[in-house]
Amino acid sequence: MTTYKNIHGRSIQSLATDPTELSAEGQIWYNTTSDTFKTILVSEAFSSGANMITARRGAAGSFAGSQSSGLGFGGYTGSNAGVALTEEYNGSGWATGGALNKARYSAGGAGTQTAGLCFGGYSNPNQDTEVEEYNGTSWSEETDLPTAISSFACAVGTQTAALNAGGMPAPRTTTFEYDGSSWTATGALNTARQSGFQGAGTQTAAFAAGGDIGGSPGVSLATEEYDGSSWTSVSNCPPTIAVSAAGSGTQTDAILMKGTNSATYDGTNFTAGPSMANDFISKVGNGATTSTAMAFSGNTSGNPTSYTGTTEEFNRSANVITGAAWASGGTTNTARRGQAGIGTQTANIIAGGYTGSYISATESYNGSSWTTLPVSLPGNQSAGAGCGTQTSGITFGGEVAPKAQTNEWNGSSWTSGGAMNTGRQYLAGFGTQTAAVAGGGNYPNTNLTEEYDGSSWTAGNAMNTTRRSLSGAGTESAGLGIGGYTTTPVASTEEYDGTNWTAGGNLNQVRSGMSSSGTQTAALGFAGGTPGFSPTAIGSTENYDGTSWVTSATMAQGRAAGSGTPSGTSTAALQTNGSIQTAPTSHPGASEEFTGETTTVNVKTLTQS
Amino acid sequence: MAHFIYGVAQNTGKGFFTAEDRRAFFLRGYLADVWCIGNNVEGARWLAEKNGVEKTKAEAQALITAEVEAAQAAWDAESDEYKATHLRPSDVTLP
Repeated sequence: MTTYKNIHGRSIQSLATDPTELSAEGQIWYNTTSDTFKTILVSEAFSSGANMITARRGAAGSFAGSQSSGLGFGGYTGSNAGVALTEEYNGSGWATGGALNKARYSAGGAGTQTAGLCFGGYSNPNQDTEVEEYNGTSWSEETDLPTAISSFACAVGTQTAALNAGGMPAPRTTTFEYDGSSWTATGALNTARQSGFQGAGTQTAAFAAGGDIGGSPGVSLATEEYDGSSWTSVSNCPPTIAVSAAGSGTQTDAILMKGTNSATYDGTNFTAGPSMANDFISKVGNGATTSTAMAFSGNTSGNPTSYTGTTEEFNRSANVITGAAWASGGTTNTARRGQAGIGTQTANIIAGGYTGSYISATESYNGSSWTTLPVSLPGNQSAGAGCGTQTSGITFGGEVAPKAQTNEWNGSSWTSGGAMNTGRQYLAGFGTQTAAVAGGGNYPNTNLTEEYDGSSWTAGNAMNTTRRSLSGAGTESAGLGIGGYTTTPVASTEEYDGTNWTAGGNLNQVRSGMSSSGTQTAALGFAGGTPGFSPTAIGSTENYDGTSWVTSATMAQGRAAGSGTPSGTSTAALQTNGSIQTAPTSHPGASEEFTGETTTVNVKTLTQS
Repeated sequence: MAHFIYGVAQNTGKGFFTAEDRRAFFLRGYLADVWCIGNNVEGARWLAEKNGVEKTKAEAQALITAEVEAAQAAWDAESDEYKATHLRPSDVTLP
């Protein structure tokens, strides 16, 4: 019998399971389980990234940056003065960076996250000449542009070798090079234009594609390439990406992104690329390559007041990246807020809460549906804390007197545990049934800490910040106290080592009444309210790595004073119930499930057709 | 083309919206079972599949405002002790 090896001189591996390593790209193997030949292919696709902290249009970016170290700055959020806000992206989420000295929008950007450049822009009532450099922490003023310009037709390069061309006022042909200290005028564009594609190329090998030329129809498809001294006209760009497109890459290998459209440019031709999910224009691109690019922020075409912080990542890889997202979970049988939550995303318990009156009902979740259990808390309770697992949990505190009650759950029934030394409500709790921590709470607001050993509570060292309505995650020896309310919602996080509290990273969004999941070095914080004590709810989500918080996927429906998964993880969390408004009865029975970003190799089955 | 469509649909729990849905289109939930949905093929299909009723932005806003006003009236009737610890329900404006 003729074999593959006889014909080709090589044999094919027989594998029971597909390889999961990227190094297997290009290989062919026979899967003995599915009785098929398979391979790993490179694919191009956009995936959802975490939203910016502040939605905006007209931002600028570090075009020489990367998908894992992006920078966005300035922009328009409703005021013609623009904003000075800077945000840094780490590949998973956004965190607050140092603010520009001059607020503005439609500025030019270049450089990287740790060596960024912002030039020109618009700040009511005029275009701007201001230039600033970013060192990864703060912006400093540098040599001004020779002319006030915004809405460039081309902006690329690094902090010490940047280039801009075109822009407004009036569609223009000017080109300026920056060497890190001064600006020099060079060869003019052949077609005067503004609001063109920005973000791909270098100071000596750039290109301008499309743009607004004023008048009607007002759109140019002209593409020109720059060689470090002059511009040469080449082929036209597709109309789908002609104005206000974002980009990444080089003069001979670039991706352009606008609305839901993308296109690639190889130095000669434009080719349609994969679709994006979010139909926004004036996005900002980040990335010096086309293998990994990103686009963020922008506004709806024709509606400059509808702006967004949406982020999408582009990957040309044998890996398939699936962005983090919240999905609807089961609906509880009794909608409530202020309940204590115990357990994980697929094995959860909620107990007590407030429905207009205090309740004691207990429900169990299996990852699909909630079941009301025949046993309830010993008494009605709300606004307490919970931790542990579905079969060995604990709730403590709450706003129903005496507020010091501890209840232990063994998977089938509740029994009373030792009373807290200081009764309180709106407190944080984390740990296990036999090693739990209670921190903060009120009334009045407190910083007191207590530890539970399975039978009694012992006073621990106090938190640094007195607060209530905070959330807890982690273990007795490695815990977190997150956010909360002092005289206003706060962003601060404190880390507990079993003895002392020390300051951790600040949330990007202040919030009280939030929920959380995970550990001290891999936590997820979500939901809550800002700016009031019992305010309009939010659904934003943040990830903590033990040092800093970054944004993540947003819930579909914001809720405050619900419950989380104190024994869950940062990649599999559950948010249950809570209020979507301050009304006593506006608490739906909904829950949402969080799944973190995943990466898998792109395995394809080979067919004969 | 408008960036959002608006609709009323009851959250039926698990599977009402999936992680794939969330990656495919914008989705935000509000009072009165009002949903603000990204205006693309996937978003429109989702609303139809959930037996949702599409509303104009004004109609959707009116439904929310009615619930907010009812909540504000309920808050107004609460005790001073309650008001001291709970802010008055705030207005909600659709994007």
